[in-house]
Amino acid sequence: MLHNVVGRMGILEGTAGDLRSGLPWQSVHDGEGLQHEPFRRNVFIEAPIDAMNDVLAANPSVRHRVDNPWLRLLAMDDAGTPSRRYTGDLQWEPITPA
Amino acid sequence: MLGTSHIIAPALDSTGELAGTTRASFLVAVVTTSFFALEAGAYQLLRTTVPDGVGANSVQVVVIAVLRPMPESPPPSSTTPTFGPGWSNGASTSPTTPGSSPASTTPPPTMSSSSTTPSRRSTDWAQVRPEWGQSGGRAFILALRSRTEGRDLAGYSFLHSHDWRQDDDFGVLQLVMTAPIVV
Repeated sequence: MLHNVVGRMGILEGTAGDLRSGLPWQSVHDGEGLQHEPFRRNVFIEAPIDAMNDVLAANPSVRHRVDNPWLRLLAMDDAGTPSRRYTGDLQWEPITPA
Repeated sequence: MLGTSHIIAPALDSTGELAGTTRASFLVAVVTTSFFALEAGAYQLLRTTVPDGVGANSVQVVVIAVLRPMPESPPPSSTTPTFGPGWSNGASTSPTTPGSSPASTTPPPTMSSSSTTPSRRSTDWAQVRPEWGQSGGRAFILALRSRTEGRDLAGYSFLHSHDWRQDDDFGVLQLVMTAPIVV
């Protein structure tokens, strides 16, 4: 995060010198509503299951997110149809697209 | 720097040949000139050490990347992570990149204005705050661009064009799964 809080007045952004008094709200609000909704993202990937498992096995930080699951991981088949869903522990189950 | 100190030292020395107002004016001129010289030097240094290509790692450039097809050949290896010449606009492509495709050296007409190119905007902090980058992103789709072409995803999806058949050792797959997807 690039926001360096200055007292209770505002923030300095990174190395820039301007004091930005309204930025904390501008970061999350457009004046009418909050912009960051909590939801679980669906990640669709067109790639071989083995290749994705290799990446997950080699990167615990990614695997934790999909195993627990903070993200839903879905695989697209060669026709581009979402056909399998990651169920954790490097396992996938077939799904029937709606 | 040695030259500057040699100029300033006699200007500060009250026993020097210059005296009074003349000496003060000279000192002001030296300090002012040195300041702007340093400013210009720092500006040039920052320009050269932080090339436009640094934006290739940023979210905004990745989003725009889906508008362009993958190059026919895998991206040439580089010391800095990059999605290859076909994935960024021409302005950010390193001139030393070997085997650049024509598309990377000649920006398309719609992206010819440097003041509006996505790569330039991606490093312009006067643009929308970075925190807005993926808000509202309900889905992330890493696939051929053609898989979603023409579909109305209502602006809620982050698209990243990718052809695993051209992804040697799945290096790009790993890069995307470990970086943009987990942001």
